[in-house]
Amino acid sequence: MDVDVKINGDKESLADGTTIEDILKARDVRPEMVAVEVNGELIQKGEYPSRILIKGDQMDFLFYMAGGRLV
Amino acid sequence: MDETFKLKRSQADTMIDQALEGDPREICGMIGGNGAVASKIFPTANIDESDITYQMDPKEQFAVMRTLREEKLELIGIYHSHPETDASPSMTDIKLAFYPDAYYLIISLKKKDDPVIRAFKIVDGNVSETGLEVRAD
Repeated sequence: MDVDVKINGDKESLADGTTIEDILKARDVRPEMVAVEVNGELIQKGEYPSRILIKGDQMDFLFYMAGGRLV
Repeated sequence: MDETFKLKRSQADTMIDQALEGDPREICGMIGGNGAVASKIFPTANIDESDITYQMDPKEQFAVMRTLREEKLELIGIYHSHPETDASPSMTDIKLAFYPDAYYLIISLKKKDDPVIRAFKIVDGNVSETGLEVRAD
């Protein structure tokens, strides 16, 4: 059964049991490059493989914004 | 395609004032708008609190992204300062440029009384300088 969620504001239907890690992998996004929130709660990276999205969840992810003249 | 990034004088001044107030530490922020035209500047904290690096707080990034979505704007720019060096992307800037669609603006305070802003696109490690047009308000 599909699960209706929102990812970065867009509606999506996911297969039951889809994890945060699955979603990032499907988008070729390396977990270490992004921060993830589900329903406004920042998710620890260690939870990405086990956190399953459920109906109505809103997941947002974004790439870190960083840099500087270090090198 | 016109690659010139456009912002108002007051928006440029907001970034320059933030850079001068933050000096000698690097400052950073996000720019919302459409295409290459800036609508709103979002100064953010540099959680590194460093003279040579910046990193935005992800919580703050998420908050800005939500505001952009609500206001039907896009993330079109990311800016930071180089307090002592030129307004050119460093290797660190290039390595950590994850937004190929965004313009990267760098404010140099090398000459404190004459700050310089330059705009770049950074795509897959390739840097190209774009035009930058500062319009009167």
